[in-house]
Amino acid sequence: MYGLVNKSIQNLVETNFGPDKWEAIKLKSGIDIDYFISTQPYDDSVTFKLAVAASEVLGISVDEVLVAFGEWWILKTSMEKYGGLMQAGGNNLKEFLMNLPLFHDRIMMIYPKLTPPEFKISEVEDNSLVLHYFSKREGLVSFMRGLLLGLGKLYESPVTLEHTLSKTTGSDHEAFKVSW
Amino acid sequence: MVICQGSSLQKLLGDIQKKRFDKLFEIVRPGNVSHKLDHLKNLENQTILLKIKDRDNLLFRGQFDYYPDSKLLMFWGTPWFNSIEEVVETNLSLSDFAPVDPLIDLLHLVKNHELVTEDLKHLVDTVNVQKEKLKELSYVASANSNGILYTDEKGNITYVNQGFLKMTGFEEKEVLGKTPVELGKGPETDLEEIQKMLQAFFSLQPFKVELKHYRKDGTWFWARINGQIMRDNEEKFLNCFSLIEDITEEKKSKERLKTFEQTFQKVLEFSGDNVWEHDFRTEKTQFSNLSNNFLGLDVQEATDLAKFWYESIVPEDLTLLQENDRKYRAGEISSHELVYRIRHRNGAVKWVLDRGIVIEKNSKGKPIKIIGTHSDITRQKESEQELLAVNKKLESVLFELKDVIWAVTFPELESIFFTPSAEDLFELKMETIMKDNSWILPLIYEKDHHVFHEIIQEAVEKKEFSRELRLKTSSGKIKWIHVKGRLTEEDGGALRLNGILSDISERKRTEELLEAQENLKNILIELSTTYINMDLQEVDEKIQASLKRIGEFVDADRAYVFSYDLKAMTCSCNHEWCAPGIAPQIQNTQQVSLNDIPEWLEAHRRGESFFVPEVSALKEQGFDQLQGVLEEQGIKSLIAIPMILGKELVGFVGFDSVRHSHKYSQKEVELLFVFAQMLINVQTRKQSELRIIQQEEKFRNIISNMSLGLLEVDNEETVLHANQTFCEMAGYRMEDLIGTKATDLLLTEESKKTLLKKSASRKYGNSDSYELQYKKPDGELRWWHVSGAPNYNDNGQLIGSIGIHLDITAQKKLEKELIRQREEAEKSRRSKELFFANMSHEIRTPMNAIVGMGEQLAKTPLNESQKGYLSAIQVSANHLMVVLKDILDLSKLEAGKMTLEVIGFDLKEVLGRAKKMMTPKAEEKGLSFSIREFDPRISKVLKGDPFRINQIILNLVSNSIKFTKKGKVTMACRLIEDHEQVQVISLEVEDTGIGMDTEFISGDFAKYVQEDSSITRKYGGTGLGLSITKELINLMEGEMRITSQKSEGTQIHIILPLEKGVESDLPVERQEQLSADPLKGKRILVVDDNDFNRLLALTILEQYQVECFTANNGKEAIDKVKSTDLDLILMDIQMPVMDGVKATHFIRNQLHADMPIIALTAFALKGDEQKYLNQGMNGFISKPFQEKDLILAISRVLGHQPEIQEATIESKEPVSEVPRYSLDELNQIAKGNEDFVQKMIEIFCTNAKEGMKEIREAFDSEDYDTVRKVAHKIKPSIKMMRIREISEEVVELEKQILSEKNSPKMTQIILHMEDILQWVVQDIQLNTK
Repeated sequence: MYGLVNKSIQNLVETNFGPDKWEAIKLKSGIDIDYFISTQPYDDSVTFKLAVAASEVLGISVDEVLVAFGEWWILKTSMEKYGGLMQAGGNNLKEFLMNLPLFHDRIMMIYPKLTPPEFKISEVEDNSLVLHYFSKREGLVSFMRGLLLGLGKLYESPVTLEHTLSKTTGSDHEAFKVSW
Repeated sequence: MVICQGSSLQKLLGDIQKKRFDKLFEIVRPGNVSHKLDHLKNLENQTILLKIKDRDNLLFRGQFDYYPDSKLLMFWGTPWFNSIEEVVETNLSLSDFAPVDPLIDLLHLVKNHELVTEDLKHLVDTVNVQKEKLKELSYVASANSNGILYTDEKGNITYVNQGFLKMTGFEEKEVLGKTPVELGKGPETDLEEIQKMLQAFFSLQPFKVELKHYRKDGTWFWARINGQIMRDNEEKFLNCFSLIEDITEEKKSKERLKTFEQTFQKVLEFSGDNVWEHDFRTEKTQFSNLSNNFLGLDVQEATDLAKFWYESIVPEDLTLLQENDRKYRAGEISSHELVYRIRHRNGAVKWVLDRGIVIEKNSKGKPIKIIGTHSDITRQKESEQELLAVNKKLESVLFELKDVIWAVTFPELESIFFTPSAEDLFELKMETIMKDNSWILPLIYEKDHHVFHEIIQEAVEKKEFSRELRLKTSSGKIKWIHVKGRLTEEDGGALRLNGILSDISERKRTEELLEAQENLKNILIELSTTYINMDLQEVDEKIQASLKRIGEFVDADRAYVFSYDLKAMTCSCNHEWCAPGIAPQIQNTQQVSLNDIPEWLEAHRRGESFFVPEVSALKEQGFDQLQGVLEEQGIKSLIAIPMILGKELVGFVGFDSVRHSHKYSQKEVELLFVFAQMLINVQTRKQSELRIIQQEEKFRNIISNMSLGLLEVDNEETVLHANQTFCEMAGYRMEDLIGTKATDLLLTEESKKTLLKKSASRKYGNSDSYELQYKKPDGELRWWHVSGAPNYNDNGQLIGSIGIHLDITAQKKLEKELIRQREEAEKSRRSKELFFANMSHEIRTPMNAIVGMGEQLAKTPLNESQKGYLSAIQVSANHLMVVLKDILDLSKLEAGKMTLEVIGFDLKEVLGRAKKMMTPKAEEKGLSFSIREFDPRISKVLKGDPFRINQIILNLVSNSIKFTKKGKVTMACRLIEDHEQVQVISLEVEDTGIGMDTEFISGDFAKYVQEDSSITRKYGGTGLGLSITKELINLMEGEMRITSQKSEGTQIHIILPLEKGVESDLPVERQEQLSADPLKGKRILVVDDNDFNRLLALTILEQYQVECFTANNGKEAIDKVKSTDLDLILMDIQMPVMDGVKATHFIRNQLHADMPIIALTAFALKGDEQKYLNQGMNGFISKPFQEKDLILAISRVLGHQPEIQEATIESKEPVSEVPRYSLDELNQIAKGNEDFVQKMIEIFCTNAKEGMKEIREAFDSEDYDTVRKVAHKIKPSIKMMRIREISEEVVELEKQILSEKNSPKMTQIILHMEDILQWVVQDIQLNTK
């Protein structure tokens, strides 16, 4: 992951729980990194360690941490850092989701060290669509969920998610039916 | 002109078709080109920058392509944005850019670049901050006065600060590259500490050591070295950071403090057993002496000593310590000293002296630390307590000491010391005692003054003394004291007398008492010996002597015995003793009036002594006269003891004190009572001896006057003495009798034997009376009654016998006559009974025919006159029956054979019935006849014999009607007494008839007697009525009261006590229907020698469609039984040839025929029925019988037969209201215990069922003994359950089965019992479930 992600986690914790908690989480995670550089790729394990440590320190489940982080990522990090880019993603939720595959294709190009997920869209309706999520990473489904919820909030179109396909049930990817 | 545009462009610029290109766009690069197509087509393959004319900042970058065929120029371009924000502003989105268009990616990268730049800026800031911090740190490090060393992995110093250089005097260059050990180690450096440090260092652990660190100049200082290994991010060794502090001063002060504390502790320990220290900040308490704490407890390091100490404190003392603690904390005290108790582990209580002082205070003056000691002061405390106890004891000993310990100067006898008991003993105040010696001599009893002087002398001569003497105290008490002392010389040569005084009064008194008792004992012995076995001639003399002896003993001046004459109310002196010089008073004291001394007499009557301690004080007590009487005789005090014989006051014995008054001790009084009792005994003896002599004389006179012959013989029957009467009785002279053998007197042979036998029995001490026949010398036979008794001499040896003889010849004659008369009377009674029995039979037999035939005749058609004759016959016959009944009743009453029923009845109904019966008679005579009164309080149900009561009423009423010509006859019934179970009822019959003489009334209604013989003629009747009534009333324990006035009328009251009953006691009248059915077609044999009776029976039976057979006597009957199949036999008893009983026997035993046999008999006396049933008969009919009786009897007997049994039970049970059984008795026993009742019922049911089964089986197999045993066994249950129907039967079964065997009667009984018990068991089970 790029440092941007870890920074975002740091920011999430510090903003919501104070710098002490962040220090505690960092200590707990055993990561000895004082400063995350946004464009530097870090090992995925760093992010996971942080998530696990945050779960322990904050007393919530890892999934909850990831959901919260997903939302945070959309509403705070992306909007702060890449507000324009996000806005360029679409004028509404549906448009944004529809652009998502394109968006990631482009990102993949920009960040050569990034292994971004691949998205596909199907069953597009007026108020719903199915988002297919292909990722080499494991365990980021909840993060995904948080992202989608965050998008719903961003576009002021609260969403309901239906996890229709899952690797845990034998599928080769994850799929969410997103309704707004 | 634009002819076509892309969608994104349309989004940006709107519809620009058909608009001119040059109007819309401006070509920025290449510059200065014409907008004409021809020009533009030449711009192919060049980068073109287009600017939208009205928009400043919107550029398109692209290229033109010209298509010559269609002469079209196409511009391929993409808008150029400087930032992604601009993209957004133009409302474009990602999808508006061609996939090949990297603009958006470029913008993204630009954005990233911005971010990175920002990151870097932050990073630089962070680094800068850290750098500053490091700088600061390094400044601190170098400026630190403590030494700081950095060493590398090998321990070589890489950095040193100023502090270290200053501390050690080295220069930096001398230090760098060296190891700290090389630099600082010196001779006194603790190698162990170095070792510890190196070990930690090489194992990369932090360390802290204290050691002597040498300086460059060779001196050393105490250093504390704190080492810390520093690592980089990868945990690799960076350097070792060591901080070196100079702690020499600290060490020194600590050392000093330690030394001081040790010293202090030692001092403290010296002063206590434990030194403790308490820190208020940590609330920790420490003890110096953990192992040897005096609580004996195993105190561990971890033990919370404060808690432990508090818990050990004896609870009562805990508050002391708590309060102390509070004061410390409040800053109220800064030191303390407490004494309290601690519980040792072994349970012992230890006293602790706890002292403490604050050694450290905070700024507010509150203690931080206190230190103190615990001292075990148990022993000290114990000694203290002991001392106290000893003191107390000593004190109490001194105070309690009865004896007086004293000391006086000698010879002055001034008091030096007297124990407090002296006050009590001397009855003097201590001040008086201590003041001077003036009290001494007056205190000593005058008579013992010489002893005092002797003591002084002895003290001088022998230096010590021991004497007894008496004191006379202010209260007048004489006290015996024992004084023992010693003369001692004090240092200064002064002499003093020390000693001890003991009050020995008690001992002295005891001694005196003992002496007195000894004397008393002696006197008692003396008195006893004097009076026992005393010759009565010497009584006066002995009494005189005793008076003297006892008078002297009790220190009296006069002693006397008086006798009372209570009738004359005087007393007189009988004996008197006076001490020398005392005037006798016996002459003046004869018949002295007791009226002057009532108290005296009263006391004696109560058996108490009369004691006057002070005559002079009598007046004050109100005994003026007594005082006068006594003072005349110069008496100062006296005592008089009553002499009581039995309950009679006979006199008194008294003692006067003339010279001085005297108090009598209890013992003395007791002695005097003994003496008085002895005098009484002597007098009694004297009197009884006199009486014996008189009696002897009297008896002798009686015997000689009563013509009793007295004969005394020795053991050989030789006559020793005979009185005159005996001589006369025997017809011998005295001299002829003396010396002869008594048995040789002219006795009959029989009498001789009797006499010898009696004589022999005398030897065993027997005395008795007997009669014997004596033949006088003149041949006359006389009957003597002899009372003989053995005769003993003084030594109790049998020396013969004495006989008293009375001539009873006349009585004997009389007796014989009486026996004869009695026998005659008996004979007459028997013949009367026989007569009655015969009469009964003789009359009944024809009467049976008359009555019976009358009944049958009445059924036939008769004309009026025939009816009249028949009626007359029936009335006469009925009258005769009444007479007969009366006679029989009376004979029964006389023979005591009359028994009364006790059944429930309604008296009102009985009275009503009597009225109904008698009303026609009264009406006949024109008399008013009514029931005047019936007391409603009379119990509805009473128990008794209603038939006899009816008989009584009828007797009386018919008498009244009979003897009343005009007026009225009334009946009344009143309740007289109402008890819980019994009512006493008065039945009254009143008439206005001829009345009766008082004489006749009081004559008890002799039988067969009417008031005068004319009555019989005039009124008829047997004259038995009232007699029978009277007898019946007597039998009912009632009484009859008659008030009668000749010619005015008679009132008869019958008073009867009757038991109260309840509804269920009333018998249910059996509604027995005469039905022809059971008899129809039965074959019945009528056996009777009386033709009429036979005919009567036949006449009746044939009406019931019975097939009749007849027999004239028992023999014929047997023949008939043999020849004919019979269902039943009616058997007369008295018959010629063979009577009914014998015939029955034969039929049962020889013919083994079991058909029912009913006895027909005129022997209708009580008990007859049973007799016949015992003879094997099944029923009984008394002649004369009525049709109903006969048919019922037959039906009843036949009804027992199984084939019609069911029908009978069915028809009878519902009407039967008399309970077949009752749980009353059981309930009574159970007293409310339901379980018990239930259990008993169960037992009964089981016993009854099994018992009957056993009986049946045993009976069928002819095992009669078992039948008997089982019957015996179930008998009590039947009785207890009150199953009346078979309670007699079971007794009969038990008694008779062995003799009766399988007789019809036994068969019948068993059958009956089976039925009844089966019914009862079923019913009980039905009702109790």
